Amino acid sequence: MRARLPQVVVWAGPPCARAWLCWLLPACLLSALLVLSVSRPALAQAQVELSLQVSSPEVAVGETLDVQLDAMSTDGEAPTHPELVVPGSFELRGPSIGTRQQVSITGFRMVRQSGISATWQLTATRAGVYSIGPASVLAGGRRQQAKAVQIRVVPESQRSQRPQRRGRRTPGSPFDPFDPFGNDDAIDDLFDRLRGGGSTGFDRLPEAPAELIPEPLPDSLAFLDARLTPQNAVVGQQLTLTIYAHGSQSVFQEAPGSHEPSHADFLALRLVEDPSRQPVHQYTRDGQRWIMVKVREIALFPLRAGRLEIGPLEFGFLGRRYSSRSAQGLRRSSPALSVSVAEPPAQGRPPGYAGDVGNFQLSALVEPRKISAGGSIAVTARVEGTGRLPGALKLPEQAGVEWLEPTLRDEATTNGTSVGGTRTFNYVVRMTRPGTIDLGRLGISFYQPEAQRYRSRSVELGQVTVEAAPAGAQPAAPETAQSGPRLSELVKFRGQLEPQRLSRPLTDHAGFWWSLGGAPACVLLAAGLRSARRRLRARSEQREQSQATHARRALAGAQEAARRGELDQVLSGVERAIYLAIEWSTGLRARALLRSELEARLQAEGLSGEQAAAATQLLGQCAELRRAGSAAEPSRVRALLKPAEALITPLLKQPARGAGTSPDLDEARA
Amino acid sequence: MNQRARSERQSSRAPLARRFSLGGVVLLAGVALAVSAPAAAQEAPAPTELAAVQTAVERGAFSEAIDQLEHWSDQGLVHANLSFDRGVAYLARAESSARKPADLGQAAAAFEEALALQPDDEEARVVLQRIREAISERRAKAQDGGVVARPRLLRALTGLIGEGAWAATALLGSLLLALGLCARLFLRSHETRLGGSIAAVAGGCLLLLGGSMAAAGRHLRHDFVPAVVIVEEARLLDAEGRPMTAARGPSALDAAGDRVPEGSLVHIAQERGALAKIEWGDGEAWLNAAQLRRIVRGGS
Repeated sequence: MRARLPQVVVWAGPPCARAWLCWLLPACLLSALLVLSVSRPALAQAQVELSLQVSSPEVAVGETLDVQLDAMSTDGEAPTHPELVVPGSFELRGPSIGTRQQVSITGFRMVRQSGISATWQLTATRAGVYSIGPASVLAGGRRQQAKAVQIRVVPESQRSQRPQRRGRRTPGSPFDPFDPFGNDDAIDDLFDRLRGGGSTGFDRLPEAPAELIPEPLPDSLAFLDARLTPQNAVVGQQLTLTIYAHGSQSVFQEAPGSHEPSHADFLALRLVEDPSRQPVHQYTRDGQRWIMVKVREIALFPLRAGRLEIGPLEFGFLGRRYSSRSAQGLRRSSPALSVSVAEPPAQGRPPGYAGDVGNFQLSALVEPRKISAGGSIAVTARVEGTGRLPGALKLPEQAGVEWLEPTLRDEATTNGTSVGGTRTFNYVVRMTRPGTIDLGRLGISFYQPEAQRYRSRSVELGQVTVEAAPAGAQPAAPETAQSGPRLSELVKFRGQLEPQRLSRPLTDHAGFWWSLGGAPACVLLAAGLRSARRRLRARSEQREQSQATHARRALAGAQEAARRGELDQVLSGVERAIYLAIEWSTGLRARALLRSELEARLQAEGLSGEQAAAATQLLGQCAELRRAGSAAEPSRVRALLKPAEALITPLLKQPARGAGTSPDLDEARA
Repeated sequence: MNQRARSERQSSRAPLARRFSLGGVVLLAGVALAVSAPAAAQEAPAPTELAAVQTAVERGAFSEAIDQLEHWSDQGLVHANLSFDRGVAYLARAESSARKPADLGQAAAAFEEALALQPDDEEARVVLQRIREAISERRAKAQDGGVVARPRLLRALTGLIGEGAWAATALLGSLLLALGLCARLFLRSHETRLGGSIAAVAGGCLLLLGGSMAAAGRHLRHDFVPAVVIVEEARLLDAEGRPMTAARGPSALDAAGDRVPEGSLVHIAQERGALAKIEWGDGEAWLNAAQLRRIVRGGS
């Protein structure tokens, strides 16, 4: 067995190249190190170190909290303009700003830092868990932010029970997303205690409202719960989409890369900008403790009627116990929702309704009230209320008053989940005709979903005195310079509504299409009936004149003659009936044949021997009795009838092989 | 006695005959009513309301008049004169300082509707033509290429003499065919039979032509909804809603034929969400449905 040698990669280039490479590689490494060491201070120059700290992670309502922002810059210019974002549940004072200088020596390098320290005093007014910040400063022409910190505000009644933690947290350990309560205890211990129920921190979180907890819980680890209110709406009415994240493993943070819910048929406005600033609630189900946070709240305004879809939110739960190894966190999606949206009712809809939904008030200011012709006045209209603010107002147009396009100014507000605010329309109105002009009423119509009815608001603008323009003033230029009369002068308003009947087109009546084929079809039907009638009549005549019919008639005549005692007639009838029956069944004209050869010919034509013999015999007897004349015995003559009938009846039942008509008829036709 | 009985029978027949004739009249009236639908399902506006709208137009309050006329239109009130008045109001506003971008297109739609409801309204026809000329002039001044789209062949053929005339032609053909067949099948004279044959062939041809064109006209009327473009220009889209780079079909005479000018009459074949599939030239394309105003037709 051969031993396996280790594989060695051998450089196969020329020896001079190998020597050159041996020199080049260390040179490259050295130069890279040099570049790094030189460029590092340059990179550091652009950085500002920010840290935001709170004096206590937990305060009671009414207590004051210090929030300190340290901002140190290495570019020699201290940051300025510190700002702090604070929830509305705090009263804010400050900041008080102090400057700081710091020199540090690292290796062979001396770093000089200058900065500020801004301190705010916050007084809590409402219990809950809040995010303080982010805080920001202006440095190097850019605003740079420090991360927010989270604190807990307990009710005033718990102030005495609360452990006194007045000491500041150690620098370098700012807000930890895994520890919203800011406990000084070990982080790992936090949720173990929460789960075990021994922690006072968990219990001090506000209890989640029962109506926000789904039954049953759709997941044992984490899930998203989406709620949409109301379930039925009209186009333009505000819907509120609220998504809550529920987690049972520990407190969590939103992982980056969330996929926002799709809402193509809605105009959207986010009500919750920063989920980390939302209050955290707790509840217990089946012995398991859950934390619930509102992560999204979006105001949606439907743009069209129908069954409209809202897509799911894909959200990553980031926390030690969820999916600590993945930056995406534990992914969960909220259910897709749909809502039924209708148009506002047609009943009671005012003229000029532009689709506005909500509840608004309208006010207006006109100034000045006295101008000269060709001058302008300013009309400032203010719409205030809840809902999507109207885009236009109903203007009191009239000749000599030109309303120019308004400029708009918005002040959007959110009251709870209701979106609204104020929109100001600034119109410039040009007055071209002198006199006292009554401007009329400025108006707005909207649908109020709560009352389920339309409402109109209007405001009287009053009168404006327009004086004639001074003699030297230039006359107002015509609106449009065009040759010939205006198009609108070619047509006059029709003030009368004559009775009008709108007839359905002819082709919409089924009768029209039937009538198209009806007349020719009737003619063809009549022709067909006529032809059928003719054919029936011919067939009837043919049957009337058939040999079989004549044979039967002849036999019946013979029987009748026998009853009357006319023997000659009996004989001639029997003879004729036999000849016709033979011709019917065989096509043979037996009268033209000699009697001696008759039997053989009949057999040759298909009659049985007995029938042929009987026919020959009966015809012979007829001839013999006829020769006897009056001497013939009547009994013998009558005796012919039965065998003749016995012979003729089966012959006539056979299908006709002859012409089918009697020779008399043929002669007559000829 | 016999005379008395006869007179009694006659007297008993007389009311019967009267009843039948009365029934016939009622039947005919019913058929006539069924054939001609009432003008409007909605109650017509009072003369004072209409006078108020007229006053608003006269004093330059065009938007107020338009709001009221549109309100009636939204309520389903259909009358040729109301459509005409709406066109007048839009046209007047389009030529005033209060003009809005789509006023001319809306005016064209209103006059088109008046014409659809009352096809013999020459005034509406003339002003509609003038509006379209004005739009073309405006586009020419703005150096926007004019777009001409020929109607598809079937629509052009049915539009030659109108659906009603084609239907009458078919009826005439049917009658001629029936008479010809009668002469051919029931009369004995050779000349008459020959004449009948010729009449039957001619009638059959007329029936076939008129019937097929009337059926085509009905199909176009039922399966397509006429509409007018009410924006300055509507961009042609594909089925996915993406803008088309050029119009399809050989009928687009302009290289930049990827948009439909304001006031153009198009025919909607299908609507899907916010898109409307229209017949454009001899091809098809999609438009944003909000850029179109549907035309209400008589009897539809």
